[in-house]
Amino acid sequence: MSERLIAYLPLLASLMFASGILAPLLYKPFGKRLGLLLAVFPFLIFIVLLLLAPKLGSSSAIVTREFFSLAEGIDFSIRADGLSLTFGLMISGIGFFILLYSAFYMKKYERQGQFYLYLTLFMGAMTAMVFSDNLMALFIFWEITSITSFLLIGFDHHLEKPRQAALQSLLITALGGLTLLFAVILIGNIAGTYRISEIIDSGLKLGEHPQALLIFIFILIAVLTKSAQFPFHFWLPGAMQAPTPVSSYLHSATMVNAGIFLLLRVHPFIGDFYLWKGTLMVAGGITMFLGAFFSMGQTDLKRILAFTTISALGTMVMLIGIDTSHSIKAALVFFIVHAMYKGGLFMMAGIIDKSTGTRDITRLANLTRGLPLTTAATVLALISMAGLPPMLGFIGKELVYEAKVQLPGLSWLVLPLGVGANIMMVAISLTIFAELFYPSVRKQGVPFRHTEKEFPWYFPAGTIILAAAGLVLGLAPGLLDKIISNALLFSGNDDVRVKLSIWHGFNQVLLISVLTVVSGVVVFIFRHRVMPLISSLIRWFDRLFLPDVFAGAIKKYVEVAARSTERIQHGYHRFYLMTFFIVTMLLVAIQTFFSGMPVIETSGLSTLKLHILALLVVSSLAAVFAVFSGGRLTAIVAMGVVGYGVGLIYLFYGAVDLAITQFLAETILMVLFVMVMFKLPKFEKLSSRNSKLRDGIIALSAGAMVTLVVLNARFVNVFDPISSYYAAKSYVEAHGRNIVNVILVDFRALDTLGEITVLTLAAVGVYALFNIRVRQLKEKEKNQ
Amino acid sequence: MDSLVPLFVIIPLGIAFIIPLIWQVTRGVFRFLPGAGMLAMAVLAFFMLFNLGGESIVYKVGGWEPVNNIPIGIHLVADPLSLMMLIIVNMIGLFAALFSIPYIDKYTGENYYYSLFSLMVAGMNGVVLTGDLFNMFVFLEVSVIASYSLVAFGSSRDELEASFKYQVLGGIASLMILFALAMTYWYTGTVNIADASEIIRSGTGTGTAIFIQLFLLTGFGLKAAMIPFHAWLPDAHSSAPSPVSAMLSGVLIKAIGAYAILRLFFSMFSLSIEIGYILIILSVLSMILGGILASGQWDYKRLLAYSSISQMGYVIMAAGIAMVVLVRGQDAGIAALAMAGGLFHMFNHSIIKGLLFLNAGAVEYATGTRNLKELGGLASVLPITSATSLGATFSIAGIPPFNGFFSKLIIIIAAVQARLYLLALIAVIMSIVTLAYFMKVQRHIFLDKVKSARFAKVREVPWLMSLPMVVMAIMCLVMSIMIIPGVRDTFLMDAVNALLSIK
Amino acid sequence: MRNLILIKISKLYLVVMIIFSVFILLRGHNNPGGGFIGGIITSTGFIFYGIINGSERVKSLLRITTIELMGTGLMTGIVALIIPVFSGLEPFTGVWIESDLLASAGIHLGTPVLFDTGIYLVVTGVFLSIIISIMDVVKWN
Repeated sequence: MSERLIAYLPLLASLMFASGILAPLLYKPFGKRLGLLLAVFPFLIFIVLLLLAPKLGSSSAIVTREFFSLAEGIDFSIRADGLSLTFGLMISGIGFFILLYSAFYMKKYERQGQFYLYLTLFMGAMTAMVFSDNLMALFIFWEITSITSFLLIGFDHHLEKPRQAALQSLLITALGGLTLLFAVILIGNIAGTYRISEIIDSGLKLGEHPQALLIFIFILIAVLTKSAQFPFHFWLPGAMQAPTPVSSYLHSATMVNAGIFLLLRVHPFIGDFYLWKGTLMVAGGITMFLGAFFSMGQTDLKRILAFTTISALGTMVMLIGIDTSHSIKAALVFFIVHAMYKGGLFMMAGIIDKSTGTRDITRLANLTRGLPLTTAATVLALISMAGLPPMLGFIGKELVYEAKVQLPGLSWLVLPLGVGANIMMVAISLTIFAELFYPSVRKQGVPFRHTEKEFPWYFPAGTIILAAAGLVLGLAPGLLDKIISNALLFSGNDDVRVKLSIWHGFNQVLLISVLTVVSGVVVFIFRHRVMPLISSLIRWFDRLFLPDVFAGAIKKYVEVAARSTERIQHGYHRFYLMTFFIVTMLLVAIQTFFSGMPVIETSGLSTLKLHILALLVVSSLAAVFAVFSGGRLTAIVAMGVVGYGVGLIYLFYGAVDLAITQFLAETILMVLFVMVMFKLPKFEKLSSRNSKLRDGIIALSAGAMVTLVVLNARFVNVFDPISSYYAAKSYVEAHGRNIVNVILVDFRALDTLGEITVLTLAAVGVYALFNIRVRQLKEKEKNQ
Repeated sequence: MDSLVPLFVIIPLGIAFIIPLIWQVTRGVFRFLPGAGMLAMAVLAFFMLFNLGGESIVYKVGGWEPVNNIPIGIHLVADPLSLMMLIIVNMIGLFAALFSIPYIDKYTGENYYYSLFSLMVAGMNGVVLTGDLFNMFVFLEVSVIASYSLVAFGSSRDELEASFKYQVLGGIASLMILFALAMTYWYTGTVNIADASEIIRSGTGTGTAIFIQLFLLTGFGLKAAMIPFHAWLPDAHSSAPSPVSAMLSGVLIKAIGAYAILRLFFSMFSLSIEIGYILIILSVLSMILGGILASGQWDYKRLLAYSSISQMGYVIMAAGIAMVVLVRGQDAGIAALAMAGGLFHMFNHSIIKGLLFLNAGAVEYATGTRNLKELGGLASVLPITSATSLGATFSIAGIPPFNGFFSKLIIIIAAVQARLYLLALIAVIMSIVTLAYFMKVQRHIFLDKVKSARFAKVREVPWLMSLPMVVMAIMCLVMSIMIIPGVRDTFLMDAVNALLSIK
Repeated sequence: MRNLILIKISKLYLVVMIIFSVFILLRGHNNPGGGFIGGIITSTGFIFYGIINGSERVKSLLRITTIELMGTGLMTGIVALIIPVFSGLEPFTGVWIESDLLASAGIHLGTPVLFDTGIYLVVTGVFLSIIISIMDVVKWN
């Protein structure tokens, strides 16, 4: 039964991808209803998962065979355990509401087809990620979520801010993605498989492995970047530039929680690494506190929520870092809690934006009148966020406290941070409520443009139902017991007993809770003093802090790049040539150095005849003379001598054809030189003494290198060379006695064809170039 | 099937010679001739690849049978690797040729353009097909000299200067190559690659062979634009008309640079650790410096040109890893993996960079400029160009599920398995840098606001230009199937086996 | 420069060179010579003629442009390489006219000779094209 159910998952996910890709095309016929249509897919997935959940029990995972294999080791198969189900349910459930919500929210936007394309792809990738049983597949979907979220955040790309924010988030999350890739490859290399189920079943523990540090650092970077943890947290508030449906989806249940998911996924096999606890606790703790603290200083509703999101993520990371069964249980529950209230609150922000035209909490007031249902839902969500009964948030917070209290040794540090953060949460919840909904006479809010009645039912549905679900689960938390216990088992915990309840009796934890609430109320009462303080602090932070550091680093990098361009691509042609020769010589020199100086064998060489020696001397002298000659004509003549000398050498060694060609070509060249001589610019010495010296050294060493290499070359062929066969075959089969010619026109006719093509090309090139000049000259004459 | 092999040279040569002659008759039809020819050749190469089943054909030009197993004529060898290269060359050639039809309309001397274009393709086809060193040199010259002319085709001052630099450096490189070939002939007494390989590998004393390889490396390294021999490329590739840039960056530096290096170093010489390390060092330099230099550019096409240097680094690095692994005697499977990654990346980069240059061409065609600082907001007026370039951007930056991701992934996995962690790390980091500078392109050209009133009337390019872009963008996505086992065996692994002679 | 004797000499020289180059071309298969050398020899004749009479006269003497000359040469070469296909052989194969009479005279006619002729035309065209272009620019006419 469960096997059959799970078979629907890939089908649904691929349908989702397909419909996403088709979204731009579907937009034409369906128009505004496209969002409603697409919402069917996450809904179906949600139903399937919901049906699957009871089948799972508390200690079994369903792993399918791979149904599609990309390459050895990289295959797509489904792993459904408590962990993936927890995440999958949230992703598909909230995704469903988000699509409904967007159907109304996005209706005035252009390019809606693209929007749905990105959103559905993102949704599909997120779902596929949590259900992948293959680390490589997990990584692939992870990257797709980065890219699609970039496209979603930067959807309003004609504005500067969203563009900047999207770029920032992309570069940061892509960095994390690539380090994740590295970690995955390393893990796969050690484990011999990328399949998560095989790795877990084999009981592999990487903590003691020499590469554990590397793997852990890479995973850590991936998590910190994706989940917006300190010091990479700054991209998340920027990402609020996205359209509201995107923010509510990305920052409640998906995108940023991918890091949490990853940590839990790899916990079974690398959780025993000695840095795991400390690093995660520190990063998470700082993030938790900073996020909550900063949220008090904001006035934009979405930014407030963004900072509380950062804080919540920090809490989860820290809990995972504490690394006891209790803390991980707390993290899982807290994930559910957070996804539900945060999704609702973000959507609420969008609803308020739509109905009043602003999200500034200082300008909003008395919203209850126009938005009664939203108000009710928001109040529930805020209670959950503040961690008060009877919402699920209360249970989550209690568990968190419990985990912190029971932490051996470090609770003195962790607990105050956590309590501090929670005080802020209470305060901010109260603030939101008071500013937005509390019927006040003193504050005059902006008037409504639309009231709730004017919205279609599906617009506020998400906020309301999520809040209601939070209430139901808060009253009957036992519903979650099994699935969380299963998730605990597969994230590598020994103690998997889970019994959630809303009332734990009077204990230390409850005491702290009460203290928290009281302090929260105190902070709330003094908020008008506290908020400016915090916002000035934020401004101070902002000035020297990370977004600027990041932007500055990018700018600096581009500057450095531009400067190095000038240095490397300087435009001096002679230096390019010089580089070429010097590098070649260096390579040869290094090789000579390592393989020992070549022994030049003299035994195989024929004796040097006197007339050839004389020729060589004359040619060399002519070459030297050409270099040092004071005039152009003498240089040309000297070069001619060199050419004829080479021709003569050909002749003496029996290459008659070659010699004749060389002589004739040399003659024509001389004639050409003489012809253009008087048209050339004045003969001047432009090089300085030093550069001449330098060029001379390079030229001489290049010559020396070639000589050395040629002298060192030895004939290794033990067989007869082909030249003897040419001689033998030439007349018999090719009807010619002149071997050179026969080779040219018969044995190697293809070469010759190529050569004459090259010649033609060169000639046409010269012709074309000169023709431009001739035409210019003629025009000039005409003008005169 | 044997007699089909020379068609790859004869068809483009014939087209090149016939176009200027019959141009006056009907210009409209003959503009399609190069594209048609390349389509035919791409299909033919595809067909042969499928029917060969990993075997190779040796075609003896002029029917000169070897005497005592010593070849006396020129041999053309069609093995899976060269067929794969043929597919790349002719496919990108087809797209560029189609794109040229509207693009080149504004230039004079269209007939010469198509003629030169076909010659360049003929040269590249010859280089990848030939089994003969000197013949390789000849075809190399055919293609590079055609490319010199094409770079200067606009005949403005910059273009001529770029072409001149390209010619001088290219000429020096050709000289190096020729010298190395002469040395090889002296050393082995033959210019046939297969024959020379037998002699070199059976012979003792590799001292000379190493020197020959060094010369070949610098020569072909210059043609492949590896840093520090890259100086000509940014000028040449950005000055050429865009479809030509697409050919130069997309296939020319691969066919006459990287392919030649792979073919000669793996199939002809005995492998040596020195060459492996040199390849790795040069490739790492290329990757890093190419990436950094690309980031600093404000000229769209120059940026692309530098990016080509950086991306070719990946290909050469994969080759270097394969060589080091083989020489060290590690598992040959790792070498095969690295080489597969390298070849796959070469294939992908052809498509991606071809597409990107066509995008740049479309932008230039529509707006008249390619300065990043002037452009902006083109996404709404050039939707097709913008969408395809976004696809190419993700692909080249290695974002799944685009093809560029998988090729880089394979290279990185191979590097890790070969225990060359630093190389893997560099490859990963350069991916981010690639993403960063292509995001710069996206941001300044397609996103943002329209900065100048003169772009208000910009319209999407004609269909002959957008069609190749769309097809290539789809290929960026679809080529990912190349790593699915069944497909991979036919395309990649056969080529790898042909190169590493693993049976 | 208009020196009547020089003009006559240049004409004579040109004719001699052309005849000599054709001779070199045809004997090339058995003795030193061939298309390359023949082409260069012809072009020296034209260059000499051009130096004395100017580039315009060379052009009018040639009747066809140098580009066309090269084109003709290339086409000749290709035709020579493709002819074997019509006698059922692979392209690039040499086809010879089997004739005892010619053979006894030491002359073999076949596609390689035709190909050589192609080379001859191309080389002539290449040199002339370059030289005439340069002459045009330096106004040697």
